[in-house]
Amino acid sequence: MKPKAVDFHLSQIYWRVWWRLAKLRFTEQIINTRFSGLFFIVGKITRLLFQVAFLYLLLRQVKLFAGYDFYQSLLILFLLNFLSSLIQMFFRGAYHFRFNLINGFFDFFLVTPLDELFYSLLSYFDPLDALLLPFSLGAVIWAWCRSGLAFNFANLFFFLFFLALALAFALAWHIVALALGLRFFVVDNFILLYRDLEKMVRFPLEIYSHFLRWLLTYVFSVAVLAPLPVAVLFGKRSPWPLLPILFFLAVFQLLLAWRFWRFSLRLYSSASS
Amino acid sequence: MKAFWFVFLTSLQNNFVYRANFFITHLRRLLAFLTPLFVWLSVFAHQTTVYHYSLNQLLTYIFGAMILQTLIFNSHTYELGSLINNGDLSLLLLKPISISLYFLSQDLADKALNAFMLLLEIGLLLLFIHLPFHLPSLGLVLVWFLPLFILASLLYFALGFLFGLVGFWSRDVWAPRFLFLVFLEFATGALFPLDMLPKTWQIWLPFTPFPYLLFYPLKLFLGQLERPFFYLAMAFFWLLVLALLDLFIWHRGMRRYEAEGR
Amino acid sequence: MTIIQAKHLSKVYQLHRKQPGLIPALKSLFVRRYDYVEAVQDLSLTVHRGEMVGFIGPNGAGKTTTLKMFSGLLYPTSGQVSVLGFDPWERRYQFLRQISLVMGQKNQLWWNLPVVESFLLFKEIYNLSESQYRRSLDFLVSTLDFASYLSVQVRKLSLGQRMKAELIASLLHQPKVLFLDEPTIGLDVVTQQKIRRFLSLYNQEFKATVILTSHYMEDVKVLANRLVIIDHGHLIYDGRLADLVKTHLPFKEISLDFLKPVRLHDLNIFSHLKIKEFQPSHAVIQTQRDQTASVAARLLKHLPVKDISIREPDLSEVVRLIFKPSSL
Repeated sequence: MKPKAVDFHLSQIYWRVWWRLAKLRFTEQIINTRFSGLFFIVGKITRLLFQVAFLYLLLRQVKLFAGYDFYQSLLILFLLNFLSSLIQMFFRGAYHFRFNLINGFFDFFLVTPLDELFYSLLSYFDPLDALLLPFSLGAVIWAWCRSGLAFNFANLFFFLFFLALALAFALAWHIVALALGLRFFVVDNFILLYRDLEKMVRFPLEIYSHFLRWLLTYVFSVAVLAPLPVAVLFGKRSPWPLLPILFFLAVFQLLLAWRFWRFSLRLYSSASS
Repeated sequence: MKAFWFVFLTSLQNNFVYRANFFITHLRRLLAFLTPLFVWLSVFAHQTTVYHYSLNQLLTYIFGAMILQTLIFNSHTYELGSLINNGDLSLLLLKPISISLYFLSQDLADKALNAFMLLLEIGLLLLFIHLPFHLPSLGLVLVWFLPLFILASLLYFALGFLFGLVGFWSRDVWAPRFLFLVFLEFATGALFPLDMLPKTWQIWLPFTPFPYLLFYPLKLFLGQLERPFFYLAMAFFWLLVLALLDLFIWHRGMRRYEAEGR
Repeated sequence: MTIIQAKHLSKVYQLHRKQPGLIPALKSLFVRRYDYVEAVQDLSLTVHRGEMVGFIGPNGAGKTTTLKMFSGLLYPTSGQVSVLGFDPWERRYQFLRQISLVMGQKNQLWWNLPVVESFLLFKEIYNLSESQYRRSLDFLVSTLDFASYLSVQVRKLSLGQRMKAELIASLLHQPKVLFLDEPTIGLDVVTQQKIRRFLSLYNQEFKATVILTSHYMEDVKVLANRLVIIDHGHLIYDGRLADLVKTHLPFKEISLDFLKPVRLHDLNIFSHLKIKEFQPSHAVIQTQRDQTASVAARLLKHLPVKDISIREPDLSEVVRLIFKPSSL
């Protein structure tokens, strides 16, 4: 069992390897020019435009959407978009996992000295994804300004805190997805479930029933991606005791996910056997 | 005919093989239904009408949209792209069943299963939530709705097939399908009734294939579509156009496929 | 020095029993029936430094499963194993840094990039210094004659070249233990020989311990000085190759080429011997080991022999005898 707090020497190795992997993926893309990248970009922008149009359509008729005005709603949408892209960018390996299991590549992940979870999840960082990210962030900042939110220390602190929480919860979810993949050889549906949950939180949390709100905050925790931070930033939700609870929840979920992953590894039977 | 039946049964079985998969798929469907429901409930919290729709009418619409999506919006044609790329298409071509029939029979199995599960889910849901909706006359259903529904399903198939054909020219099949899914979500009326759009935009709607997949069949079922024959004809026209396009591109693609000796 | 110590290892797989038909499929939603496959049963083994051990056995015998338990891929259902003093399952960095796993026809190199890029990645992963890397790479590349392929994309290499590249990648960090799973499978004869020669050389040069599984008798003959036979998850033989032949096949074969055609009738005086092959110009006669010399002398005396050679029976005969019910 690898200790969670790796020593400095080892963490340096991980960093170097991750960086090299990113460079390799980038080189790979240059060598095999992928025009499909363009399709993706067009698709993502189109989708965002459609979503903005939908919000606009709604807010033409009503002044407030669950208590949020147009720019506040946009902020939720853009924040979700940004974080979703960020998460996908880092954890892209989850989409390749089933393939790696079937062709036996995962065995090599196990046998090479660095953690197999690291490889499975993080080794597919695509620098091309990183290109769009500044624009997503730009949209967030724009909506931030238009909604009248101040750029002070407190707000930035909340923003970063929720960002860290979001990454933590997403990581836990992806680890569980991979662990399920080890046992059942299906990963995709679980990840798609996560994406569906993400879609639910592009709107203010207040539209949902109490039960669903609770579910999306404390069980599936996707609400930390966008509606919760915006609610806190605009004073609609108090940060205390929400933030400490979420913090401990994140730690708990991560530990649980990690244990589940290690357990599933024991049941792993390997493709060629 | 036997081949068709065998594929139908095998496909039905494959759907059960992984339990987790099965349950998650249905959970996802449920979630997909909840989001628009709550969005609109929230919007109607302080208003009685939104774009000439009452809450009841809109809920009926959303509910109907979910049902139709389950029945129409899935097809095995999304496998076409990867079949082409990994060469398994050759194996399929060797079988005494045409590609379209292969996919169609699989789709039929899926739709049958989905319809069955849908009836169960709706039954269950109606026990907890009272959703107001009215059933149209039987005549309307048989004469107008059923043909339009079938056309819509075939249209979806043809579109899906079209995007799958990209596999002949590109190794990446996910990206075009992604774009397709984006349009499916917003341009077919799945998220909101398309007649909420500004009047100037609505003029262009019949001249795109997307509304025929969901919006017009749904409106027809709800008895809100005037001149149903026009839409039936247009749907048929679009089907013809796409089918021809599919055929043309298929042949082009096959030539390329065989040239590469796979 | 003991490198590998396995005690009563076993591995049991759970297989979901799939029955054909629609109703069973529906049932499988609620109740799953499992079959248990005992891939490895009560296997105990000790391997010392520098040994080259060959695991042979029919398909599904459990050799690959055993190998994977040694390298930490699979978690043993029961028993203990220790490699280089580590519990392989924990897969500590220090442990993995000293072993290597090569699987025939499976590639861990980056498909679309030049080979050397994958090597550089491994350099980072194994934390090799520039000089260590250079020395290792130069030795491996020159021994395997790979220099001209370094900047070729992996997908453009032939199977044999890919195998060589795979070997280089796995040996860059100079592992103390090398696990090879069917390393020569699918390769042409010439490449197989080259790889065998290389592995032999490597073992001698670096005193690395090598465990390999194979279907090919040649692999085992050339490479392994110790043979382990596994069948149905059990270890049924563990010893030297030569000993196996001596105990199970206590005979030798005398191969004769005749000056002029010989009739079967002429061999009547030798009818108490087993005649394995007969043609007018050539015959192969089997004889007990200790009688080889006398029988050979008699053959030379009574028959018009042009050429005579005495050889060991083929190893595959041995194995065939051992696996009488199940065949390789």
